[in-house]
Amino acid sequence: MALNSKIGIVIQREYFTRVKKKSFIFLTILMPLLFIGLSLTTFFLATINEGKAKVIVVVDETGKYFPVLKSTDQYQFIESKTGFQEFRKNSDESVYATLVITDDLLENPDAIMLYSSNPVVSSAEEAITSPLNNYLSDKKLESYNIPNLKQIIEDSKIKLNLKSVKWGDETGSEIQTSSVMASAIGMVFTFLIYMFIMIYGSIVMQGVMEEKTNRIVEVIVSSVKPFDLMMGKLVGIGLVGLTQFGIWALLLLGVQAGAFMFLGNSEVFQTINASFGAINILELSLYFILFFIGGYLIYSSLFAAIGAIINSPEDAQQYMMPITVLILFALYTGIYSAQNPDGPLAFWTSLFPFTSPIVMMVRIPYGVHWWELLLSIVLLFGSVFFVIQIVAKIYRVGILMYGKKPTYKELMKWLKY
Amino acid sequence: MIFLETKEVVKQYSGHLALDKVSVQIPEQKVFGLLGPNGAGKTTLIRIITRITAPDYGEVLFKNRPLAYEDIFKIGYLPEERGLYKKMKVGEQAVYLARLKGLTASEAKERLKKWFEKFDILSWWDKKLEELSKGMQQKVQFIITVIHEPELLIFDEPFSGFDPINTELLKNEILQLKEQGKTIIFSTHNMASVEEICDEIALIDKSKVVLSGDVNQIRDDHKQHIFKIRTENENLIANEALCEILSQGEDSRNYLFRIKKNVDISNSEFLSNLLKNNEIVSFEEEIPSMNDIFIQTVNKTQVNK
Repeated sequence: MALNSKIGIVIQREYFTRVKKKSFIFLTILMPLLFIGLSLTTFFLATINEGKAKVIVVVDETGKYFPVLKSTDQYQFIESKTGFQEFRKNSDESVYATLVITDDLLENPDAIMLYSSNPVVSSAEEAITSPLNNYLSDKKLESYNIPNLKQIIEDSKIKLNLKSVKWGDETGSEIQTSSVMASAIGMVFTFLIYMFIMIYGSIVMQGVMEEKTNRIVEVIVSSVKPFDLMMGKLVGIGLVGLTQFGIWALLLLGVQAGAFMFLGNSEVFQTINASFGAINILELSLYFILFFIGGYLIYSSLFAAIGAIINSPEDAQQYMMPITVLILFALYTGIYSAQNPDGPLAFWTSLFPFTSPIVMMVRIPYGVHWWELLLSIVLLFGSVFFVIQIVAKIYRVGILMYGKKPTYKELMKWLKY
Repeated sequence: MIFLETKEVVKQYSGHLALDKVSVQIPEQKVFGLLGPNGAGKTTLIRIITRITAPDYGEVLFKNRPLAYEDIFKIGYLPEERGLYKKMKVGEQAVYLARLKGLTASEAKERLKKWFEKFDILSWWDKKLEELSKGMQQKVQFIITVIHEPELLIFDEPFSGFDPINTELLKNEILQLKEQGKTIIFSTHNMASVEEICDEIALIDKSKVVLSGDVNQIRDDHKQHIFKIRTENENLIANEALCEILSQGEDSRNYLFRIKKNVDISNSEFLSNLLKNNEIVSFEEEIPSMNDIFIQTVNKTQVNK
């Protein structure tokens, strides 16, 4: 019987038992909805105003400034005829703050005070200072007695409209990049790849541990080589991950097509579409799949080794620590690299195989030299090959070892078996 | 003919010697008992035979040539610590495991259905394993072990967890497999079943083979020359040089004596000597049970240490 067909049978089981689970179907459909729902809720909560405008009482002894302050949805300005001291005594819950102006502000800029029994939020300060600042600078300009001075200053302000343009490497054609969009998309892919590696890595670990603790492995290993069993598991579960990604991609395409049907002509949709600009989603997805496969294999094989070493879930923590630290380091460098995608940290970590799958996904939307990509991919898959060789040795011994958990020193010995 | 043979197999685990020059010969179409106290090295030897682990020294011969990877498909192994996927449907995982042993999916299904019917568990085909009782799980496991009709079967403590009825069922299945021409390695602590089933045995203790050979031969070799006799008379008249009375008693009919023969003469000569002075009703030599031999041998090796 051919060796490959054995791996094939294992892959089939690992894949179909998971994909057919109700929880998989449920989660795959529910996750994007949950994600969209959550972001919409946050967005919605951030935009809605509090029911009533906050009242700010203005005690303007000069009488010049109250008309300048315009009430908004958030803040309502009420002029007080009574003195400031009076107000303090009668202050009630309905008044948010009291603004006191005692002198001409052009001559005495300190003659303005805001009193409140609560900490004053910055948007309240903004609502007061920005109209007053405008008014005062206008007044100041007027005081120079130069006709049309305001107009002159206005004209002298040259507004730079900086568009960053990146030359295409070979064709010399110009590709317009939008850095906001690039960083947003990079972030999404980075989080996706991080999430996928963590989730599917621990599924691999649980799968290996289940076989070990249930002692199924003794039955299986007498007909399949441990290496085939491990590879079958890694590949099968990896395919589950890709399936999930595929389903999400299809859902996204569906949403986009739907949006095109309904909003195709509207301006909003055109702007959104245009802002994707040169960022090629298809190309990005291909790199995502490539880096996911590499990142998944390198980390999940380590997780498989842990599953083979330990005898109970409680022991997992000790061995998972170094891996979790590494993967979190990758995530944080990824986030940091979004601000400086061509910096040395981003450069080196996008070559280092344990961080490259995550960091590279941030950098790709900004554009990366082809040789960097190639080197990163070669290093990644080279390391995958190397790591799997080592892990296979630990796995082979570990799955049949029961009793006390091994020390790191013993693990080194297993490598030599 | 020797079906499988290990030659001076040595296996060292970090810090301790699991097998120390173990040589056993397993004859074709016989039931071979692999006996020994816990931790003696039985499971290690089985794992070497099933190629789960490799020996440090020594070799394993399969039909007189070195054991090769392909040979494991001719072996069915029922481990002592057994387990299956708890959340997976019984039929589905039986088919999976059968396919791993080289059967095609349809072949596997066909054979499994027959076995499931025979063991009266066909109605559980689509149930998850965790819904089955322990005995039923054991049956499933047994079926999986024999499903690819291997030439060599290895059963490690096959009767643990079975009720007497199912133990009988399983015992008959094992004897039937022997009749079909399979070679069987049978590892157990249950000495009564060894006497019933095994043709030959090897007793492993402290990583070494301390006793091996044909079961009947071994039992004969371990005879203590103790006899049980029934007489009509209250007193046994016998020369002290001839025999020694170990114990005596009586029941409603006869007097019972347990005596030890002290001279090196044949049993019939011994009997005729006794007959001269006594009215003997019955005369029987005690054949030691495998249980006694087991305890005796293991204790002896412990004393020697």
